[in-house]
Amino acid sequence: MLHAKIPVVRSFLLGLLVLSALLLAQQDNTKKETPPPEQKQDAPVFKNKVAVKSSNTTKSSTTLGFNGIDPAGKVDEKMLATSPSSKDQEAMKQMSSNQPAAADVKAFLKEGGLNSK
Amino acid sequence: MRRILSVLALAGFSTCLLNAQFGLGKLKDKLDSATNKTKPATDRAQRAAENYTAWTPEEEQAMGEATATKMIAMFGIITEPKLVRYVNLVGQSVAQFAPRQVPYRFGVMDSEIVGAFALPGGFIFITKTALEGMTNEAQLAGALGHEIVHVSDRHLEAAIRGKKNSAWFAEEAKAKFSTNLAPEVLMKRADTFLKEMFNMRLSREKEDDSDERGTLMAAQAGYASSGLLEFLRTLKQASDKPETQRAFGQLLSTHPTFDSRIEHLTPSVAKNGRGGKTLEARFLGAVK
Repeated sequence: MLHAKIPVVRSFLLGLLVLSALLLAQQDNTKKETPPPEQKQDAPVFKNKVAVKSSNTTKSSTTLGFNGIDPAGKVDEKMLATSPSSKDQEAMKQMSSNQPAAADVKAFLKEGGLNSK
Repeated sequence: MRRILSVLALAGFSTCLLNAQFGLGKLKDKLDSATNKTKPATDRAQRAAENYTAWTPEEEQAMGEATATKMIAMFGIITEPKLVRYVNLVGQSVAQFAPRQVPYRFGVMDSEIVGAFALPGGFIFITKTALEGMTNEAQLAGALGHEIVHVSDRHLEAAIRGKKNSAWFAEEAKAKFSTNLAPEVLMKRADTFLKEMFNMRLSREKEDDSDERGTLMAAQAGYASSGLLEFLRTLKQASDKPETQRAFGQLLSTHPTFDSRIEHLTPSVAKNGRGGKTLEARFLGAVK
C-alpha cells in the first residue's frame, strides 16, 4: 500500500520543484525589467531642442546612457576609457577645418550690425 | 636570571615605545594628508600654475588635436552644417578680440550635460544642452567668450602641467611631451590631460576673470554685455531642480557656484551699460 504511493508522492514533489523554479525565474525577470531609480530622476533640462539632423554619437557613449555621466553628474570612468576610432579622427579634422573664411566672418558681422576689430 | 629578565623587560618596553612612536607617526601622516585634502583645490591649482614652461604653438596644436579627438570619441559631435557654421561664426566674431590669437575652432558636443570645454590649441566645445538653454546670440557669444579667455590665457595648460604629484607630472618625468611622441603615447597623454581636466577646479579668480573678459570681448564685438549674465541666471534656475542635477554635476564640480558668478559679473555688466545686439531671430533661425 505504502510502496504503491511512493511514485505518486515523487511526481508531486517533482512538480512542486518545477513550479517553484518557474516562479523564481519569473520574479527575477520582473526585477530586471524595473528601471533603475536614478533614470527616473533625469529629466530634460530645457524645453527647447537644438535642431540636430545628424550626429556622431559613439556606440560606447550611447550604451552608457546619459552620455556616460554618472548619477552625480561626473564623467564616468568607462567613458574616460573610450578609445578614439578613425571616424573620430576624421571628425576632429573636420572640426579643425570649420574655421570660416575672413570674408564670411566679415559678412556675418555686417549682417548682424556687429563690429570688426 | 635577574639580568636576563631585566634585559627582556627593557627590550619589551623599547618595542612598545617604538610601536607607539611609529603609530603616532602614522597618525600624524594621516592627519597631515587629511589636512592637505581639505585645503581648497583652487589653492593647489593656483600654486601649481606657477611652475611650467608654455608649450610651443606646435606642441599646443598636437595636444589640442589629440584631446579634441578623445572628446569627440567620448561624447560625439554634432555635424549639422548650418549649426556648426553658425556657432563658428559667432565664436570668430568674439575671438577676433582675444589677446592671444590661435586658430579658434568651435564644436557642438552631443551631450546631455550642460557645459563648455576649452582645450589647448583653440578647440572649444559647447554642449547641445547648453545651447538649448540659450535664447539669443549674445548669450552664446558670452559663453564662448568665457572659453576663449581660458584658451588665450592657457589656464588649463598652466593648471595641469604645473601640478606636482599628478599623473600628468609623472608622465612628463618619464618623457617630456613633444610633437615627436608616437601617436599612441600622444593619445595616452591626451587621456591623462582630460582626466585631470574633468577633476580640476580652476581658481575662482580665473573663472571670474574669464566671465568678465569674455563678456567684455563679446561687447567689443557689439553684442549686449548682459548675454553671459542672462545665461548664468537661466542655468541657476534650471540647476535648482533636483531632476536636472545630473546635467549640472560636471559644471558645478569644476566651477564656482552660479550665485557667486552672477554676483561677480553683475557690476561689470552694469559698467558696460545697456545696448548691444542680442540677435534673437538669427540665433533661433540657426539653432532651434
